Amino acid sequence: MSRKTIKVNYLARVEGEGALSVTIRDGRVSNAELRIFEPPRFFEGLLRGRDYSEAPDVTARICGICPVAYQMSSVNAMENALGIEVDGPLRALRRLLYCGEWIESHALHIYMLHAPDFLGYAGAVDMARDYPDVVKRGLALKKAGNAIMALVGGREIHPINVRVGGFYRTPTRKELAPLAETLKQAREDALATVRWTAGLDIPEAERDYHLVALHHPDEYPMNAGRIISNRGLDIAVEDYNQHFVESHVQRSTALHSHLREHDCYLVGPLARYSLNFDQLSPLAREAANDAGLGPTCANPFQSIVVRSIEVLYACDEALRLIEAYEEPVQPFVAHQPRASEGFGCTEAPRGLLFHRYRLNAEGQIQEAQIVPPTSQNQPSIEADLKEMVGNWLDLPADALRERCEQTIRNYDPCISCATHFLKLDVRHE
Amino acid sequence: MNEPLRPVRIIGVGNRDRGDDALGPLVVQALQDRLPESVSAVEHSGEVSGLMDCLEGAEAVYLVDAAVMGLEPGSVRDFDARTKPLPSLGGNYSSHALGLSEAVELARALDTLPPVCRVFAVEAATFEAGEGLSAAVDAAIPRVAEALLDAITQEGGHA
Repeated sequence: MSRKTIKVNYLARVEGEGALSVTIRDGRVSNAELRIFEPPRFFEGLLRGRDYSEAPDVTARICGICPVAYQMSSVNAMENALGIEVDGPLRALRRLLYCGEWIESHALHIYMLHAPDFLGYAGAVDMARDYPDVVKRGLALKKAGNAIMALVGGREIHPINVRVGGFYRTPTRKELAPLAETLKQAREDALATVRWTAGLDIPEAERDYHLVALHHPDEYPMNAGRIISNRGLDIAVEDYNQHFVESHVQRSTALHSHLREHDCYLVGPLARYSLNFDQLSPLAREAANDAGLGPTCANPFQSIVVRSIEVLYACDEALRLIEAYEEPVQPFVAHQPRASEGFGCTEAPRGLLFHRYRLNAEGQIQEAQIVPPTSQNQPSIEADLKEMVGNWLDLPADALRERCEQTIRNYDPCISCATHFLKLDVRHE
Repeated sequence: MNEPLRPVRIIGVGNRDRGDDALGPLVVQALQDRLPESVSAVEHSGEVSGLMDCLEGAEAVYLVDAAVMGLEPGSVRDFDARTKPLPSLGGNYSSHALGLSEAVELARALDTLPPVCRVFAVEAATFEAGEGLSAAVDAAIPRVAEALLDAITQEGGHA
């Protein structure tokens, strides 16, 4: 029996810190484990006793890459608890803000973190020396997303303009006009991004995923919808805990999520795309077809193309929202606290993000539950490695290690959000 | 949103709530009333694309950040980023592991590095959330502030 060990001290280009251990025995992967060693983040505990109105600002601090997702899931949950409906232009503005986050988060991942894997570079800096115009396009796209965040959210990182019931201040049509000009160029850049990513050398690898995402009859899912899957799940957000369970595994300070009856599942761009292809804009569908993607996608390495499609969609959708925008009469819906429980689920760039809160009559948070997408995807990342690494054993050691890292980066994992973090140890036994 | 940045920029990178990572913002704060009109001093999270925007179009940029360089806490190193690539400053704490060094090196690769670009890095003792500054890094703040004022005065006669 041959034994070889390849070690990497930490996995770069992943938010947070973490470690992966892959054991290969007799040409087969016998084990793949993500281990987590960042101290747990006690956000759920930290929220207890705080006023319901503080949740969007506290939870926005959980992640610097996807703060809008945390704000949106938390305000949706609070509004659900308080029995208020945020509709019309306020709903549209929230969708616009979410478009901004998708654009900036996906552009960062596509160009700075993921593309170097496909082109054989250690990172974005090395890649930029040979592909300066490509990297500039990525930065311009990210900047367009940041511009939405700054205008609608009040600032680029950890936005401060979202409140339960709506916003603190809503923009005028005049203020949104220059943003539309920026987004028209961004849409062109996004289209070029789809074509460029489709031309990358993408490994052949498919897995039979249980895909889970929100679904809304009238729109590609961001802020609203039922939770559905490609295996017949179709539930209201309120029923999340009846179908999903979080468990603690010894190697990780993050909780792992499983479906009660189907074990591991996949959330994120592949799931959203495959379950909602018909909800994409005509431009995005056409670009997907031209890129060679079908209406579903089960190759995790093609997630870079799917993210590009979502960036294109988000630019297209943002322009539609700005065009149709009518200034609201009030920036928020008035409401009163009450003893209640509320549920919120939205599509963070990395996938489904579930929040649940229980409030007392004064509106103090008695209980908080936050299930981030990376926590839900961890079992799936392990399953990918267990199933796929065996096909790559003829690669040289460095290439194998890089492929393992790339397999994890397919998920754009935000290990910090999942409490979380990485170090890679590939062991041949 | 904000007023346009002036030609000479001091950028204090860091997070006020992460122990010694507050150094950059606190140096900027210490300098606010002592700068000539041609100089902007701003705090920045270190997010890579935003930081690159701060570099673009500048005559001179002075970056200040807490770092992990394997030195005694509070030690100050002054890097001239125009003359050679920055070493890793160990800032893989946020933004998907892209930080100050990556922003500067990306700017170099894309030919947007300003004519003057210096980095003042201070060895940190702690990046714990919610902790205050360590005594060693706290004591370095006035020294770094003075070093920055000297650098601005010497390079380009902006004072």
